Amino acid sequence: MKTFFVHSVYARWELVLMRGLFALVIWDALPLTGLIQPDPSGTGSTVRKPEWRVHYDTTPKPTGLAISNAEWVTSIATPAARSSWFAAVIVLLLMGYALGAAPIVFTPPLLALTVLYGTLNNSQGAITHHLQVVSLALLAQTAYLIWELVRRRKWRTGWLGNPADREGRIVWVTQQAVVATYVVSALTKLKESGFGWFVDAARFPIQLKKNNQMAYYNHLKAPNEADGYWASLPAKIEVLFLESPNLCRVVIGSGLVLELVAVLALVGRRWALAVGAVLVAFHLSISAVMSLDFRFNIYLLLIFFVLPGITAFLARWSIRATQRGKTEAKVR
Amino acid sequence: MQNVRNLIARFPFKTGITVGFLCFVIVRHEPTRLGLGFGKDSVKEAEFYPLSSFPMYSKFSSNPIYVYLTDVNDDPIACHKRLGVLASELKKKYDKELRIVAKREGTTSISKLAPRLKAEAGMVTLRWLRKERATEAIAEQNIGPILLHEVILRRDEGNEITKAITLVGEL
Repeated sequence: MKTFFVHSVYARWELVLMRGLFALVIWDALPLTGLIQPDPSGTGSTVRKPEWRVHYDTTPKPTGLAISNAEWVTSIATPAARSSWFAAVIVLLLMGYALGAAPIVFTPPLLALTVLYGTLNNSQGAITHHLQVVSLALLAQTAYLIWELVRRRKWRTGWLGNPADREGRIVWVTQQAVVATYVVSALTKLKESGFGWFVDAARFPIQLKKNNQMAYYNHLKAPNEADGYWASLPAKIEVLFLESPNLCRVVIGSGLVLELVAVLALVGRRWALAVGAVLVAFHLSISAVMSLDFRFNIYLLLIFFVLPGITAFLARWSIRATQRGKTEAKVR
Repeated sequence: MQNVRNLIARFPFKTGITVGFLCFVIVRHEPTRLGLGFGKDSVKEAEFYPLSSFPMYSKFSSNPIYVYLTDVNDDPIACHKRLGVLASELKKKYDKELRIVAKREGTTSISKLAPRLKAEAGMVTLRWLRKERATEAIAEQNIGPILLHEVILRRDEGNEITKAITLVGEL
């Protein structure tokens, strides 16, 4: 039976591009320093060896894996002994991952690293969520690859992601994992507050005030007009929403509707582009107003939803332009 | 009607049912085993990175809390700039300790806890800050006693947001 949600077929170069970009995102999510770093003098930049830098080596409030396996979790936090070679091994893993060769070999270790690092971070007494989408995407990829291994008993995919069908399915499960985070988030809001969530959304300015105050106490710096439009935006939104509770409900409520319909991003490339672009705008606006970090969500949306939509649009435009050119040449 | 039937027929029910079922699977510790959970306590158990049970912004509190630090002269301390700790992290830690105290006392309203109980949570937060989270930064800058203040925001009848500030710890 046909299904409404069918994974798209991608060109080989698109799959290579998506995989390579996601490898860079994993690099950014891990505590690896960049290749290019600013000079201490502040005059320019130099190329340096990446280093592995983890700031914690204990789990005072263990969560998840750290509850039963604190030793595993803290074992990645010995930078003095491991910074030189540990970073090199991870860079090799990332390069192997980016090439798409034998993903069953390169994906699980990267999943383990992001999970151990994320668990260590979340075991310090306060939980954060900004990194989780990267680990979730790797978890979905690993689960698919294991299933594929068991089902087909083939572990090699060849260099540069052959066969394309398998690579396409890896993109498909990654898209499902990302979409699931939005739908689950929406369902959680409805479960906790029901449709009263829309009514209570008028209290958002108080939350905004709280966030603005906390942002102030980070650096003791209050944003003002001199810092530019974006710096003073949260205060302006706070005043606007306080004066117009219904406007607040409509704007904030639309976010919940967007999360609920995020599943439409799985219908095809056009839907992925449309829903992905709106979700990126949604995250950028929340980041500007509430100082929350959605970097990794934005990266994944751009790579796995917006990019395939744009490449499809460019390909169609290119084909039409070529056909027009051929037709005009015949006429002449 | 036929279109609706087609749409329903094309919905990936197998995937939906599988994922829906997995939502209730809890990974329990020591020894690690899988179980099913449906109650509120199960939600707390389900925090297992990268899977989270934290229902972010699922409720809009009418009286949210945040905290800030000052020195003995009541001058605010830039917590991220000087201690490397985000104000949101500090708030989450204090909030967590408040909930532990509230649960022990058999109440759910953390904003209405007695000052001595809030001070208990405040001192745990300050000890964590000094002895675990920002030990080096505090030692390097030779920072003296740190005071933790709790702020509760409320909207008054004139639609203005008011602050109720309470000192909840000094260490």
